[in-house]
Amino acid sequence: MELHKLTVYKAHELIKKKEITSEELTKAFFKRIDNIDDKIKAYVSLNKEKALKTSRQADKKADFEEPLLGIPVAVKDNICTKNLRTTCCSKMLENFVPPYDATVLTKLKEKYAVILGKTNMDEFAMGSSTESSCFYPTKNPWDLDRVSGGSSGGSAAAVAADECIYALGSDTGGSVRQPASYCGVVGLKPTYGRVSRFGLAASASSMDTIGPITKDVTDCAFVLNAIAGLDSYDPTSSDSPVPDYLISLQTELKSAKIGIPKELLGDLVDRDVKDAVLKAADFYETMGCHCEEISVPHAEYALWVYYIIASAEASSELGQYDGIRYGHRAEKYEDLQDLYKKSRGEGFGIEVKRRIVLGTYLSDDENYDKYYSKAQKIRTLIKKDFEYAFDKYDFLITPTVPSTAFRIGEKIDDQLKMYMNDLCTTPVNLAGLPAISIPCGFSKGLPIGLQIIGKPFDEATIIQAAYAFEQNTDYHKRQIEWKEG
Amino acid sequence: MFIDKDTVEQMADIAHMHISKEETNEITKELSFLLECFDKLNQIDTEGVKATVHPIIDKNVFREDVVQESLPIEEVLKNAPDKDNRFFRVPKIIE
Repeated sequence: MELHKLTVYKAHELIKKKEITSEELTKAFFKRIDNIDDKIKAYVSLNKEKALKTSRQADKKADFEEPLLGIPVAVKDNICTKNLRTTCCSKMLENFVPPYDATVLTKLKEKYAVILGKTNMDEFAMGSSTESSCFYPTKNPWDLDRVSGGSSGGSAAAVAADECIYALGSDTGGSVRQPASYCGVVGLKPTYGRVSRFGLAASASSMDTIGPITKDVTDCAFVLNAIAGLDSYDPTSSDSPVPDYLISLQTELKSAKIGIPKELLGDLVDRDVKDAVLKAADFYETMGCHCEEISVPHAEYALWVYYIIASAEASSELGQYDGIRYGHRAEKYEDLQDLYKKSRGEGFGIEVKRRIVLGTYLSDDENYDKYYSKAQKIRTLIKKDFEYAFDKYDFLITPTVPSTAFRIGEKIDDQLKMYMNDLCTTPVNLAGLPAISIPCGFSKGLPIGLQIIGKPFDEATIIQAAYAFEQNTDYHKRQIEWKEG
Repeated sequence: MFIDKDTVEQMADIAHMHISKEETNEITKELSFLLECFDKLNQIDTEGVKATVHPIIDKNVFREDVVQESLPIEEVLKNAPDKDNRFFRVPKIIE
């Protein structure tokens, strides 16, 4: 049995029946990482000793009903892990070792989840390809010349390449869904407030969310069950009741009304991607659902609204990195001002600097009304567009990304193309909605993702829609053909 | 003209962040492009529209002010680039 190919559900069954131990499973994953991560570069830190220790503790536990007990997980490197280096893939935090766990980590550790290590990402989650990581880009397991997507590219690639059973990522403008789409795995961005952000290094705090990246929809439900809920450490987390998402795992999906926003299926979307989404609509029709083209009129402006708000928030959030209390400090400086400037100048990469300068400019007195305030008002209009759509429809479907994974280095010099990557994902963050990306086809051997968007706190419906599609199609079962050498 | 090099340098200065000449050029080029894109937003009528701050709930969260245990000082100082006993060390700021 190839242990590294197991899903959460299957591994849990085997552990429960005592057919395998968590220790065996954990060792199998470190072996897999040893064998393959040189090619993929999904991880930036490993947690071998402690992971093996946790796995042995898990094996001694009596509660074998807990689905995540002893299951190996990879964690994005902007989620704080106590006593395990957390860098945000920035030189600024190259040696930062958090003194506390993020709430999601506390929840996983209570269940004796086995933390394998930390995964690569774009610096401070700013980017769509992991190319802005201060370490190295993560390669796409489907084609090693291509990007894994971003910013949670390391997490998505680790899941796709069987270097972990599941992973956590964060999504501010598509950073869970886009890499999940590029790597042919499942990625869920929960409703804003559904999962605590405590211990997540902020990128744009009115849009940041933490979400699971998994091999299938069943696993996604298991992980969301474990991490969702109110947290007193995060005042933006919600007290809305958390249902058991496993109940959503039903293959029947009768008479759902589905909207297809035309603004997110226009000329910017590749032919093959568009065809795959329309084929998914046909599938839902055959299941007895009703699909209709709809208009979300302000969605086409969402990308620019997103960049204004995200940059303004980032420039403010990243003010905390000043070289005083933690993070990089320049070796030579003349006075305090010089210490700040040099420490920040040396610690941040170009993409982060670009966003800080932009954010500072946009929230400047002179530009505040013209850009920032304007963007926040259009954000209201985008929210209302979705509210209007959800009066009539149960969920919406769109491509996750307008195209499949691009070549490493291809887009880094062409920013417009890079921005267009986020066309379909950013409106969802602005409106705070839940959305899931699942595999729905292939174009020239590369995975295509279907995005299913739901009403606030209605993760249950999108999980059900995703599950029904997955169980009646084979896209998630396609195996990566590894080239020798 | 959407943004010039001087403005970019001035913004970096406000953000207490050194940027090289090369970075200034690159950022100026990129931001000019982006600001041109942002101009499209002016077509949208937002008269009377309220700004969204929190995407889902618009309420303040209060709690009782209760004393709780905090991290031990040595843990807090563990990541400090320069420290002295129980303090962060910083350059002299008062002449």
